[in-house]
Amino acid sequence: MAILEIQGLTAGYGSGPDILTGVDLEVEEGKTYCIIGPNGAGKSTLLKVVAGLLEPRVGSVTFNGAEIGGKRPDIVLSNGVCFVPQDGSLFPEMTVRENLVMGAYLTRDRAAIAERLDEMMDLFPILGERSSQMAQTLSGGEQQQLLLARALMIRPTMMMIDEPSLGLAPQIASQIFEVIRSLSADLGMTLLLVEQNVRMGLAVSDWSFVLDLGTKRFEGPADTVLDDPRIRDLYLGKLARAVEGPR
Amino acid sequence: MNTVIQVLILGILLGGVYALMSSGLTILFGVMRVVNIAHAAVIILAAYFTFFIWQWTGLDPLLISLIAIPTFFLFGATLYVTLFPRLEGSPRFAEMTVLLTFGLAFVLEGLMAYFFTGIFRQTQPAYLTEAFRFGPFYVPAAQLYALLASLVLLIALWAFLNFTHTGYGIRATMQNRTAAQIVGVDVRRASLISFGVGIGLAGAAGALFSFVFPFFPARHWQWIAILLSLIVAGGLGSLKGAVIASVVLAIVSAYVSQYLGPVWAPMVFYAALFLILIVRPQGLYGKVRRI
Repeated sequence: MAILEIQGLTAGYGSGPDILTGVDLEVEEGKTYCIIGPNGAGKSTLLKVVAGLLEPRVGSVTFNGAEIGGKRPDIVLSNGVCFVPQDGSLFPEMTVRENLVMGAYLTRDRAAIAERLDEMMDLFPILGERSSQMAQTLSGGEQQQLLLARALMIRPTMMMIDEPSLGLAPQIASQIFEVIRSLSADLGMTLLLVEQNVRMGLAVSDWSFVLDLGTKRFEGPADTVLDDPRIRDLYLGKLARAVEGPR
Repeated sequence: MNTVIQVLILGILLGGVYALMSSGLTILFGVMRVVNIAHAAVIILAAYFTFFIWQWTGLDPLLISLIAIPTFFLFGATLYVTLFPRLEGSPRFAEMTVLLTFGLAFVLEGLMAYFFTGIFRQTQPAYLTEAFRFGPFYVPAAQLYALLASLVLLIALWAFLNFTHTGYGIRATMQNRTAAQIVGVDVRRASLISFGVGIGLAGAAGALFSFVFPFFPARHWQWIAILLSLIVAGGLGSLKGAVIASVVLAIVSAYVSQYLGPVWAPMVFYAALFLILIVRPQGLYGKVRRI
């Protein structure tokens, strides 16, 4: 049963050209999906449209049967869809604790917020140690953990995470992906990832969508998609095959 | 030495009023990226509002400020709903707001000149000519009350921003508009309330202004230049920066006025603006924005 359905989605920025053209995809509940593709494929744009940060020009986005395409981000969030953007989306002059509280902005129940704060401090111990520090003083890895924790404060049904390893040292990136894996394995959360580090992204995913130039080229199981020769064409271009010669 | 301390006292007193005047302006920029050229015109309008209520009822201007806040909050909210939605989404939003509020300033000035004439006005509560003496020093009562009222309002603003749900949303929007949307802040509602709060603060500042400074409609041009200098020096969108810059520059201008002559006092604000743009273009507490 698909929890997220995107049909014929076309979108772009301002009066500029279409970045996404006629994209269709379905996401099933409780599974992890990785969207891969070369730079400029429209991966992040796709997440922004689902999150309500960008209006679709054509097409529909339904979540749990409700149309969320073109709805405000707070309405999308109240439907259970949470977006973790690339770096730079913390509140730099708020403390770690205040950033976490902001994650539960749609929740008015103070007891529930306090309980979730404790949960996040347990899940990300470093945030507990830094709770009274300003977010801008955290390292890159700590900021990424704070972004994930902030998104979890609302207890979303589905999380969309854009480039979680961006700018992180490999060891820190591995830790972040361990957390992402546990969100799916332990909490049963539906996850939609965009990740440039394709191997890392696919390693935690069940299924993969491959985007190129704003359209979905193909999709398949995450553990076999890298074997598809079309992936080599997308990332390395036809030149690579010409150099290697026919197989 | 006594003169040095006396001038310091007067500078601090004025700095508090400047801080209230600039706080509304910096909030409007911080939340909405609106450069409100009409801010000082709204302060002058609020000064007239206070003047006429004082003249008709004899009510103390400090009490009138309590009426001015909700009145000008509604005025600000109405202005926002009427004028700004059309500009949203424009890639040149900030520049467009400069032109829009520049026009608004002219309209307000014209209306004030038409209805209230161009003669100097000033509310004159009983304490206008009183002063408290502390040994060799004196503290003008009117300026002291204006400072205390400004402090109360700035503390109330700080508490609103730091301890209320809506205040959290506004602070979040000031720091990172996209991130605020992502966590569920309705940034349009936050903008509407912020505009109301910013103009409401201008209303309160106008009530205090009415007995601290004489005014006439075109006076706002001189004040908007000073207020813009204060918020740029403090860091655009930073409330803390605006308050600190207001107090520091008011003190410096008081010394300049005392030792070089009053005609040089306004130069302090512009000199500080040039200096800070050369040394620290983002201002005291401003952020360097990544492209």
